[in-house]
Amino acid sequence: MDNIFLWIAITLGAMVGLVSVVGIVSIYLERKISAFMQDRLGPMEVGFGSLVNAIAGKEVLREGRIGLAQSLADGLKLLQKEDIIPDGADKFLFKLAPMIVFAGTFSTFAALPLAEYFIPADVNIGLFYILAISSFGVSGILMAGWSSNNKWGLLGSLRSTAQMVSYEIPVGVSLVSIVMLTGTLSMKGIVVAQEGWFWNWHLFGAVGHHGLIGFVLLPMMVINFIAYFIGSLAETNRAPFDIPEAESELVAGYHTEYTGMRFAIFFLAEYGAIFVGNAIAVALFLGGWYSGIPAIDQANIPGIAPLVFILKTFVLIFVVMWIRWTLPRLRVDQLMTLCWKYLIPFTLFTFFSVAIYKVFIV
Amino acid sequence: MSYFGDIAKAVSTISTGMKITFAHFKNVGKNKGTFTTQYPKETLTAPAFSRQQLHNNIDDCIGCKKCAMACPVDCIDIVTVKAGADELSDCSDGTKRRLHLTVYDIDMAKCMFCGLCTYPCPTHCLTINDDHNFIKFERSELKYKFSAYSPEDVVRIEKEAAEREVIAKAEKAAKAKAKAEAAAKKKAAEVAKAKAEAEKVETAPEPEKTEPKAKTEPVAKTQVEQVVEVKKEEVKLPVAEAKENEAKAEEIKPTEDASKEANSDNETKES
Amino acid sequence: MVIADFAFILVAAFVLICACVVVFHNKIIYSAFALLFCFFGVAGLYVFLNAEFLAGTQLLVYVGGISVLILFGILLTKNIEDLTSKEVSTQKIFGGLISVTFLGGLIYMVNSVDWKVSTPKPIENSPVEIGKLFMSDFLIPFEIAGVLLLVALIGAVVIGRDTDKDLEV
Ligand code: SF4
Ligand code: SF4
Repeated sequence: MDNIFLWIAITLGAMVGLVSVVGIVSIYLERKISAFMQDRLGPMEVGFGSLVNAIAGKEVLREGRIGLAQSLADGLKLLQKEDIIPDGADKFLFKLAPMIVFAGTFSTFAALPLAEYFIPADVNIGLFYILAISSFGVSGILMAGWSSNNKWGLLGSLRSTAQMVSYEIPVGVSLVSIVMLTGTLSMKGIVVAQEGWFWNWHLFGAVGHHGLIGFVLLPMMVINFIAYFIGSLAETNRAPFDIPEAESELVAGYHTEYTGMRFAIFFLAEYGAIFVGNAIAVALFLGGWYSGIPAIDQANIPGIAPLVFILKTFVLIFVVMWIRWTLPRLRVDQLMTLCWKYLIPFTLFTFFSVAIYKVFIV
Repeated sequence: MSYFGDIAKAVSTISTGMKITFAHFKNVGKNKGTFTTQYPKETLTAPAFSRQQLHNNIDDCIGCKKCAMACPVDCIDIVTVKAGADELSDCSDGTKRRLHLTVYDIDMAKCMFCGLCTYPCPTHCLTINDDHNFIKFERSELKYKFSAYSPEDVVRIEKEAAEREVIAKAEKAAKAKAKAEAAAKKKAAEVAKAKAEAEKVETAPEPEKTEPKAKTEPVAKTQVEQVVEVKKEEVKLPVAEAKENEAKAEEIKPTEDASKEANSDNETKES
Repeated sequence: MVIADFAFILVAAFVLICACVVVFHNKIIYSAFALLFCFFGVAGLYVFLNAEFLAGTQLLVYVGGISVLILFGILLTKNIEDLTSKEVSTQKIFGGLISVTFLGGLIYMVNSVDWKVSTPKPIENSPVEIGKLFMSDFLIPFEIAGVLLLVALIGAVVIGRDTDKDLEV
């Protein structure tokens, strides 16, 4: 019994650590990448040394830093901030909402296959679990928007929910194609199916496993991957689908009224969701923890598998940020047009193709 | 097939945009890459003609207060004390300096960087340069003190000046006495009509001899008085004067020297 | 397993409390959110029954879909905050009588039925079995449900088009 509690504590602690680290690193990357793309320098002053000195009350040296500790310093700042709850807000729901949103993201981390023996919870319906539990966060967003008693908050949360619910369809259908191909819902099983050379990855049609006939699958899978990627952008409210928090119209969307740590939790949840969205793409399409070259995987270097996985995820996150700082925001009708007229037909097409392939060819 | 045409268009336009941003991303750190200046570490130089910081080369300042009168917002504060003969060196351009500048403060917090104060300066010692990097934590620190004297010096100078004043007064009194005496003598001489004309000629040189002394002193005194007067009227005068100056400066802006001359002419006429 | 029992009691209590909030709370928005948590708790109960796939479906359909739709409806209604269930419920005595009768009937039923405990081991890979059953024994209900949903979908689109002008385009 003791062991079970210990195990739960360790797993939870590791997951909280992972979510926080992922959030902090992504926020730093976002600030740097956006700065570089706009010909700026981004955070430059707060390094770890100066942060330590500032906490210890010593003189802050500023030479040669690249602002590595900026997000940590921001977090510290947010912790000290006054916690403002608007007068007209529904206090109970207002306090509950960030927890729900965070819980929705946090729970999805449980099924991420960082390595073959490094999955917090290897349930046999892993993918289904992630899809299901992430829809829990939607209600938190609605709650936040409603309880702030703020028109921007409410509008932002309604938009956000509408967008998430409708983009669940193309995302779900494109994932189902992969599930059909591998015949399993377990994240581990799906990744293991892509073992070996990188042409075994689903993005490249798993050519290695299916032989030359696998080339039929290649365009399907590329379409699938792009559809999933666009859908995951929309589900995490990232630009160019950031109409729920469109600054020019809605101030900040559903978290307009939030300050201090509650705001920080929303932020962490958002970046956590981006990580999860891209981690699913990595696990399903890009070979998960396999580096794509068998020699490296078989070398048994400790820690290489999670590293490969996280590295791949951050490459995708870079693309997400790259897109954010390039493309303008879509209108609501354009958003729906993209979803219903382009993504859903294409994913349905690939879905049927994969079904036919599975039934008649394999 | 506008459906697939739209898709192709979307792909091409998006990739164009992404290429542009990626090019910017790559160029970071290179010369053309970033436009951020890391301010406390690096600074940009202001254009040479910009008006940022006033500087007074105090060794050349004759304390004429033309600058203070020209300033539209009264941010120059000057207090002068009359100096003794040969106590101060000449300016670099040979102008005589006759006044100790015990206070010469410019309050940059009030200053609006118009540069009008620099034009009337007869010795060209007050200049406005392009040094824009004068951030201070307290507003009072923006009051720049150009006077070369320490407070003790000021006390000493004032004391010496007061002593000189006393001496000058005594001398003046003596002179007045001498003059009165001379006048009395003259009168007496006039009254003594029966006396010989040779006697008259002999007494005449005496007042002539004292005259140069008497002349220098009153000039110096009137200057001091003038200074005091100006100080009293500073509040009223500069406005009208500055307006004139401004108008002048506007008229003759292109040629700086010309405007300076005109201004100094103007000033001398007025004073 | 004491821990499992403890967890089950926790989840069951959570479901019950949420259900009570749904029924008794004055503010309709609280009821809606409580309903959402109630569905969430029920998903937890499914996990205790070794029906993970069903739990996931419960989450996806009820929490992510139906509850959100209910919330949408409530949030888009004007002045919903001013409306309390006290103003709506008028026939307290009559309604209470009916409820108590139903409750009594349910308790009687639960007690009188001879509940059998299933002996076979839980199926390891339930999604596969469920899929097979859908495609064999329960094909007709499955297909009918699919057609029903499709009809609803098309109907919604038809209703959603506001003018005839759109139809021509
Ligand atoms: S620059 Fe203008 S405002 Fe400043 S001291 Fe000179 S005259 Fe006055
Ligand atoms: S005008 Fe020039 S010389 Fe005259 S007081 Fe001002 S700075 Fe000194």
